[in-house]
Amino acid sequence: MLVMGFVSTMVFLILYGILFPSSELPVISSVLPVFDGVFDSGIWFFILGAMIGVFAILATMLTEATSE
Amino acid sequence: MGIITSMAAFWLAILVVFVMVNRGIWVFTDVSKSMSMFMLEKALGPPIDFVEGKKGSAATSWIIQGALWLIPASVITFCGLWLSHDPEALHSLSSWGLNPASTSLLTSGFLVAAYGSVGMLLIGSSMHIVPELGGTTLATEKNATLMSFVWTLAVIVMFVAANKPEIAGIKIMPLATLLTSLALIAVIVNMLLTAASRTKKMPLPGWMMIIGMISAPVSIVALAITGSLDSGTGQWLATRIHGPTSLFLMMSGAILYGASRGSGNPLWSRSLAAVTMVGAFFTINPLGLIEGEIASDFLGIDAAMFEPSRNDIVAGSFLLALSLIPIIALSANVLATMRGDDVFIENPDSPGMPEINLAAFMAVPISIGGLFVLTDHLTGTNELTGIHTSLVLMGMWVVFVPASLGAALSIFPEVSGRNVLSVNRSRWAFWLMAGGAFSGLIFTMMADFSDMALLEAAVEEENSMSSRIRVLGSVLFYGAVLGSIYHSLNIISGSFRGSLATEGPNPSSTSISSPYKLTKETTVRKILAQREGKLDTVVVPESSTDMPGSPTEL
Repeated sequence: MLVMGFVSTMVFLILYGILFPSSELPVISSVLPVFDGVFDSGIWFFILGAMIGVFAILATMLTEATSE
Repeated sequence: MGIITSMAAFWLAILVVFVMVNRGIWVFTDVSKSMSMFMLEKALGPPIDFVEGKKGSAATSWIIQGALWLIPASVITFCGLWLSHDPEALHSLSSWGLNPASTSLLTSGFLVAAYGSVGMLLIGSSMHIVPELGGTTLATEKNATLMSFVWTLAVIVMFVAANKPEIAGIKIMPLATLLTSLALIAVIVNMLLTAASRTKKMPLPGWMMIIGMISAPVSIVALAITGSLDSGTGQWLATRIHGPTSLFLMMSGAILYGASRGSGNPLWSRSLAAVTMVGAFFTINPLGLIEGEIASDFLGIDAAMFEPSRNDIVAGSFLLALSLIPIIALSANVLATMRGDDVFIENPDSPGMPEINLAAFMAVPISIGGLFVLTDHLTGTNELTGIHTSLVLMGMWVVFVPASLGAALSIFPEVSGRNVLSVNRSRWAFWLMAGGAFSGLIFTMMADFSDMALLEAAVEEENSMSSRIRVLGSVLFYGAVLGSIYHSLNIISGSFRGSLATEGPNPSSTSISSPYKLTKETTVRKILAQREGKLDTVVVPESSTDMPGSPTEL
């Protein structure tokens, strides 16, 4: 499934580039500028690590609560 | 109003409370009990039915939330330490209207650690310890569980208030005070009802937790009645008594119980426990924030200038110095209890024991440091206030956090019915948290000293060495963040699929695997000390029964 998703994404991106050359990607090109200058300090890598830890806890809680 | 007068009012109030708790309120005792029980459960209406009331659920809820609060507390403190050398590191958050600064982050990190982590872990522990020592059950598990969520909400409001004191012209910190007071009063009433139904004489650790809890609101009421809260000295005193004294007493009760429970040894000295309890009231604790401004923020009143009189300085310094007596008594008692009668620390790998050991060991040096800084501040010299923040953070992360977490971890199997998932992960978490917090804050303190020295020498150039040391300090402190995540993950996973606490210990062999060459006579203790053999004879207490005894038939 993952491979299929990746391949279809690439196909759509290439197709979009051929059909609409020199035009920006919808949604993505509007969202990306929001993150301009966000990762310009090393602190963000540490915060990212903490976020992964928090999500690991959330995932653990969800999987433990829903497992048989 | 001077320090001595205000303290006398506090002592009197605590004495009255202690007598009333023990002797009841004359003929109103039964009425007040049933009325309080009604207010804690039925009067709350539908919300009380959202939480479960099985035994241990309240303590588990408070402990898990307290452990989870360790993560934001450590992350915020880490960010505060980082911003002290790189103030623009989080400037991209300004697009969301947030402008975090190092000082506000360190203050909010401290508050989240004190109220969110330490407060919740200690209150959660008390919900197991007090009923256990009193031979009874918690008066209402449902209300206590519900209040844990109110407390969590209060900590969130507190964090917002520390970073943005006013929103739409409304002061936010008094709202946090209101919420914490609401939850705390419910918990106190719950504890008093529990203590009232005790079936045996309650040992001192139980009283320490109850009276420590009560001392927080009582101190503010006593200072308000004496009219001290409007003065700088009164606000300074409120900061000292409300937080450190209250938390120190609760922490003492928790780690004395935890050390005894975790090691299997009886409390080493009841006299030292009594010295700790009485001494904590009659002295001024040197741990925690030094400025009274935080008290005015919490109460929503104007901050007054700190101008102690000569008598205040003498009395304050004297009471601060005396505070080392209960702290040393606690440290000695906990360490001796953990060691027991022989040279070994029992169950050194048991979750919670290393934390309690660290806290008991570090309490004395950190308190001596706090004593120097506070006396320096009290006398108006202010030569040591440069290291104040690092010292306060160190007190929080190597004394209060390990103590409360250690006590909570040692009782966690009993309250939740399951052990933490992995003892190995617990050990890793301890080393990450203790090593990260200690080394990171030591480096930060070195940078503080460097800045102070250059400030004294009136050097105008930027201190690049201090900045570099601060980088190292903040990066090392990240270990505390990782340790918090490890601990939380271990507790949460353990509460779902940790081994059952009711399972008996695994029997182990007592054979000595390798030949132990003797050159002269020796003792079994020496052989065991060489790790050449195991002697895991487990002594299990007999279960008591109400069946009458009878002569043995021959």
